[in-house]
Amino acid sequence: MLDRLARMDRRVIYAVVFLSLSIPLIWPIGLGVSVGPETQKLYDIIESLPSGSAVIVSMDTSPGGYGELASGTTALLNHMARKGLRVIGMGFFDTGPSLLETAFGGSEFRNKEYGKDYVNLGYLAGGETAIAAMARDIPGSFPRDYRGNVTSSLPIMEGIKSVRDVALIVTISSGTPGVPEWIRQVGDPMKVPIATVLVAVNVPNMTPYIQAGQLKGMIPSMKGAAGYESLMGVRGLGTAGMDAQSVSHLVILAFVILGNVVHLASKKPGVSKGGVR
Amino acid sequence: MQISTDLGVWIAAIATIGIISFAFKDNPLYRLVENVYVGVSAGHAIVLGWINIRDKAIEPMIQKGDWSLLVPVILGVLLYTRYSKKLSWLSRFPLALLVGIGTGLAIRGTIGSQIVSQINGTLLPLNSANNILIVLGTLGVLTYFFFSVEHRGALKSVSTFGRYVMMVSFGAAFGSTVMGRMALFIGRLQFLYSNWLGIIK
Repeated sequence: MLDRLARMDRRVIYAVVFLSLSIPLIWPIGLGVSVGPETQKLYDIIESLPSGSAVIVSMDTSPGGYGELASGTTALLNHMARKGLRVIGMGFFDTGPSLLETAFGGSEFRNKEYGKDYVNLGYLAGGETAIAAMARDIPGSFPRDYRGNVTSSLPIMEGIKSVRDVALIVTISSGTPGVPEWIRQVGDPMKVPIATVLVAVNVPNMTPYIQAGQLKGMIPSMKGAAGYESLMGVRGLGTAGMDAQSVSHLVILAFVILGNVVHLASKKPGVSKGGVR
Repeated sequence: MQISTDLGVWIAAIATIGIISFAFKDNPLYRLVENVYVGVSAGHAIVLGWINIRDKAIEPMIQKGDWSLLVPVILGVLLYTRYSKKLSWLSRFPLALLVGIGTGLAIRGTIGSQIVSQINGTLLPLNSANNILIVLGTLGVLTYFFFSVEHRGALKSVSTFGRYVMMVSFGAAFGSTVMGRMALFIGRLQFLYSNWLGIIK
């Protein structure tokens, strides 16, 4: 039995994980959702901003990362739309602006007026250097928006010269440039609050910035999105995916334990060595 | 159940299945989708690069007469001299400028944000379990990487504690990675079951 387990085809594990994700998606269980303190902080910041405040949403991710960040981004944009905030979108990944268009289209901003309530300024090449340049002169760094309009002519840009004129910056982040670059060039030197919607892989690395107060809030992956949705009192993509996430974690946990048991048992004499093929 | 009639949704669904199919076995559909993705990404980057040059250099020069922008344009063109054996030395000038500006900016920010502020964030009152863990953990890990003295006696105990703290951190990082990968897969499954097949709302 142990020998057969040790030689189990890895595709069996894939199939079980696939089922553990699919079944709860199709037939939801309704497991509870907890709200992390960093997610609560970001929610509270958005709640505290007066209507009409300008915020920057920077789409610093690629399609590979956005799959994980879509639910959190949608929840956050919906909250901003309901609060009547002006959202200035931009991206420091070349794929960022087109993803931002998708994000605006999938949120309540699709019912708002482009150029007045929200704008997509497009992509600026140069990574961290570009962030530093943009921070001091937003219209100068983006003379035209993603749709070809002259940026300075848009009503949303009235009174917006540098990042000091915005109330909050949120980076939708999965790599570099991301949270550290924004904190280094904007958050700390210019004293502008930075928050993030972050891929789970980066959460342990970015948590020290929360601890030090350099990062004001965070929506970590789908779990954070589900928490944010529960704060807003809505059931969105994050909440819908949490049953699948929890069940799949239990399955992986079971496989980790099983793998260790088989590994330890295979060390005993009489049981052949093996491994997952 | 209402299957989508949108061509774009079908293309995205077939591409998703093509990529996921690699988990079962390498196959022609996977390779086709992979190559299309690489091609589309490269084309997208070229178009955006051109828009950047057009909006931030060519238009201001021609329409506003801002000819100072010719300097960065020439420096940018010099980068391509790398393809010529005779002229490749010219590419060092823009490269040196890029490295110098990038390093200068990063160092300026790093000292304040990632050294001073992070040290400040660790100077905590020892009045809660969290704070005690943070302070002891930081001291333990720093001791682990202190190689000037042999780790013996009390120093070894602190260093070992630092090693355990790092192991917990690696475990958290692995757990987060699993969570992230599952979230990615859930996102694609939600797309397949909702937007494509219409099984779930």
